[in-house]
Order: sequence, then C-alpha cells, then structure tokens
Amino acid sequence: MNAWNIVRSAPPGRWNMLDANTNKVTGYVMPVGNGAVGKTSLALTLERDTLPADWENTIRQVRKSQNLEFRYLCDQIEVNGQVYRVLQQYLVPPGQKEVELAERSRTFEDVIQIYQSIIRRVDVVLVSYKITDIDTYHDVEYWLEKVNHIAHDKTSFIIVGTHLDLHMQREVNDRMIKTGRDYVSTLMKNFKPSWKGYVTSIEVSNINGENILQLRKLISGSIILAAGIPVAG
Amino acid sequence: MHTANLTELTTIRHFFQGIQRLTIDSVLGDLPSFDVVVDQGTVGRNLNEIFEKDRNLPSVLVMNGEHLRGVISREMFYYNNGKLFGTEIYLGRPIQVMLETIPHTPLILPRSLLIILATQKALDRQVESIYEPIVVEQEANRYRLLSALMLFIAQSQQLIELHRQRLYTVNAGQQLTDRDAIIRFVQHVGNRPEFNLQMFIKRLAVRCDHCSQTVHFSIADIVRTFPQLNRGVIVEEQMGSRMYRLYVRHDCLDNEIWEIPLHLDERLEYRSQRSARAVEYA
Repeated sequence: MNAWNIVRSAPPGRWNMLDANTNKVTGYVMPVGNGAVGKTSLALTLERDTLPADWENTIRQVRKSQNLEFRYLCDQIEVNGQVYRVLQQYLVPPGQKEVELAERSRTFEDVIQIYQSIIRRVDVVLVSYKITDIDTYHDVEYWLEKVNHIAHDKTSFIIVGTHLDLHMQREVNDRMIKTGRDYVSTLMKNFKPSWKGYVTSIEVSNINGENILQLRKLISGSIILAAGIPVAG
Repeated sequence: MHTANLTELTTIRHFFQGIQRLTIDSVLGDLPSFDVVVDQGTVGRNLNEIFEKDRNLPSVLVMNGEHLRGVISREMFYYNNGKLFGTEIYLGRPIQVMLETIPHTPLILPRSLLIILATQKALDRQVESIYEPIVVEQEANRYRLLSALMLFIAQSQQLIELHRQRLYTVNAGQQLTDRDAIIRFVQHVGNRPEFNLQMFIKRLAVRCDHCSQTVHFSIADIVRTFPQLNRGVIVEEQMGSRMYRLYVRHDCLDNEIWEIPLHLDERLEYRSQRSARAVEYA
C-alpha cells in the first residue's frame, strides 16, 4: 500500500492527524452532464489507483443518481516543490434535465435548488459527455448554462469525455473538442465577465481506468489554482 | 343471376387483398364489382330471400329485359319494408313498385372512367344517396354494381399510392446535376472556407439498422432527394462547432422509404448516425 492509499483511506475528519505539516487544500468538484454519461462512475473510479478485475461489472451496476451524491477522495500533488494534499469533495447531481420531466427522480435543477445552501462553491466542474454520443457533447452547452451561477471566478472547467474504451465508436473528434474548449471559455466569460478560470479537456474510461489518474491530478491542480496558489506553467 | 367474388370482397382487408395496386390512371373497370340481377317483375318476397340468403349482398340491379330500370340496395329495401304497411305493400308485389318510390336514379358511370373522377361524381350526389352503389356500364346494356365504400377505399388507396410515388420520385431524385446540387447545398448552408468539391461528390456509406442494407450516397444525392432542402439538411451550431444533420433516404423493407439521420462535422465528415425511421411518419 503506498502513501496515496494511506492518505486516501483516511476519512476527512482524521485527515489532519496524518500529516500536520503538509499543506492541505480542499476543493469542491461537481460532475455535470447528461444522464448515463458516467458521472457517478467517474467519481467512483477516481477514488481508485488500481481497478479490481471485476470493476467493469461494478461500474455496470452503478445506479443512476436520483439525488445529490457526496463522495470524496484525497490526492497528493507537488506544486513548485511543495507537496499539497488535496481533498476532492464530489457533489454528484443527477443528469436528468428539468425539461425531461422526470416523474419520480429529482432533476438536476431540483437538486441545485434544494441544496443551494450546501453548495457554497464549486472549484472544478467536470463537464462530462460520452465520446460515443455526440448529442451528449452538444448538451455541454446546456450544462454550462445551468452551472455557471454556482461557479466562482476561478472555477475550472474540465471537459471530460467518458467511454474512452469505446473509442472506435467515437462520434466526437479532437477538432470538435478543441473548438469546444475555446467555446466554453468564451461562454463562461459571457456568463461571468470576471471569470478567470481555465478550460481543459481529457478523455477517460471508467471501465479500464485509462487517463483516470491524469484526471485526478488535473482536478487537484485545478483545486490548487482555485485556492489562489500560483502554479508555474 | 350471377354473383361474382362477393364473399371475399366484404371486408376492407379482403378488398385490399382482392385488388392489384392501383395507380392514378386506374379506372372503375379495374375495381372488383358484382352483378346480381333481378327482373323488375320479381316479387318483393323473393328479393327478400335473395338478401337473406346472402347477407353480404349490398344491392341488386333491377332490369327490364335488357334495360336497366334501377338499383335496389339492401338499405333501401329494408327501409321501405320497415315503413308503415311496408311489408304489405312491397313483399307481395313486384319490385318495380318499390323502385318507383325511390327518389333518386342510380349513378351510372362507364367502366373507363378514372376512379378519381368517379369518386367526385359519387360524392356529388344527394347526401342521403352518397353511399348507394354505383352502376358501372361494362358495355351496352351490361352493367355491374360497385359499392360506394369500395370506390372510396380505392380512392384512398390511390392517394396512398400517389403519396408513395411522390416519395419514390423524391427518393429517386430530382433531375439535378452534381454541380447544380452542390450550388443548392451551398446556397442553403452558406459558403464555408472548409468546403471543397471532393466533399460533395465523395461517396459515403451507412448501414440501415432497420433493413441492414448498406446505403451509398453523396451530399449531391441528398440534395437531389429533398426538393425542400431544409427538410433534409439541417445546420446545427453547437459547442462552437458547426454540424450538419442530413437524412439519407433509401428503399427499405416492404418497399417503404426510410431515412437515416446522420451527423456530419463541419468538414462534412461522418460523425454519427441515429436509428432509421419511416419517412411517412417522419
């Protein structure tokens, strides 16, 4: 078991006891995106360094979120020679849109309204889409419109393409993503002229864990940035 | 007296089975008809037996020798008999008596008349006689009866056929050269720096998930397919990118035309497709 595992296995309450001298940063991460793109699975997969053999079955059995779900993980990142331990607090809302008129489950809009007192800040928004479904990518615009009011000036947006294991069936290509990044940036500046966060993109697989660790580091880095810690490069 | 194909023509389903596919040029003679003939001297009671014996028989031709005197439909026969003293008046007397009380004369049309014109004439009758059978004159003094319902169904079938033909015409394409088709496309979506000629004439292939056929097409083909281009080529601007939603039509199962929705990116490269759907219901 490596150091990461030890840190990660500690509940946030006892976290301070583990290493009192290490810089600690907490950030709030909200994955948004259409239903079934893999937001909940993403949060689950991000918690793990290595995936067990039957992980695919576990992922396939993940039920869709019908309420705001809370998860957390701890990461360790070195910035400018300084080690930071980053607590990533995940707030996973449902992907059901208000316009889809869900009868039984809560929609994203319901959840945001109900928990608005809890969701005080969001440092990183994981705008998720399926690389195999262009419609989910196009809906990123919808989700940005819905989350921009809970973003602060340094909130980072990571456009996360899921289902990378199915890349042979991809419908969203690199060119579109590149254009999309610029577009999200422009859109956010329109929504919030004072916004100075950044937009990046990554593609991951919740099934085989491809790029998951990179995403975790990306999120940690974004939280560090959102905390106002200067990051070289 | 002769009955022809009566039993099998008594339901709409059987009617459709009984006729060939109609075209816009189909005439009355192409429709199934029947010739049940009674002499004008036939006693009402005997006609009652004829109607009782064949409950699907809608009407009979009443002849005077070789001359047509009129038509008595089942409804008219029982309507008259149902009147006060109706049975006393009509059952024991020649059918000619009843015929004289019928206010309207039968609609007689030549067998060569187009169905669409015949329908117009049939509908041009008095409201109470619109559903009375039509007499189709086969040749001089030879008549057959055509049910009004059959005529209306035939016309409806023709309209469906017309619609189908129009779709097929659309599918086969307008007479546009590749050059004209490309000009139409560019006029519709606007000229773009990324466009080049090859994009428009390059052959692409998609598989229909309904019939499993591989459908080959080019952008020019799609333009030819849609006289109203805005129904076949839709521009979408999302996430800063321009996408084109196109509908590729093809002959699918059962000679139906289905269309496959496609997404092409700004360089008109294939990105995705969705489930094919029947054009009629689109």
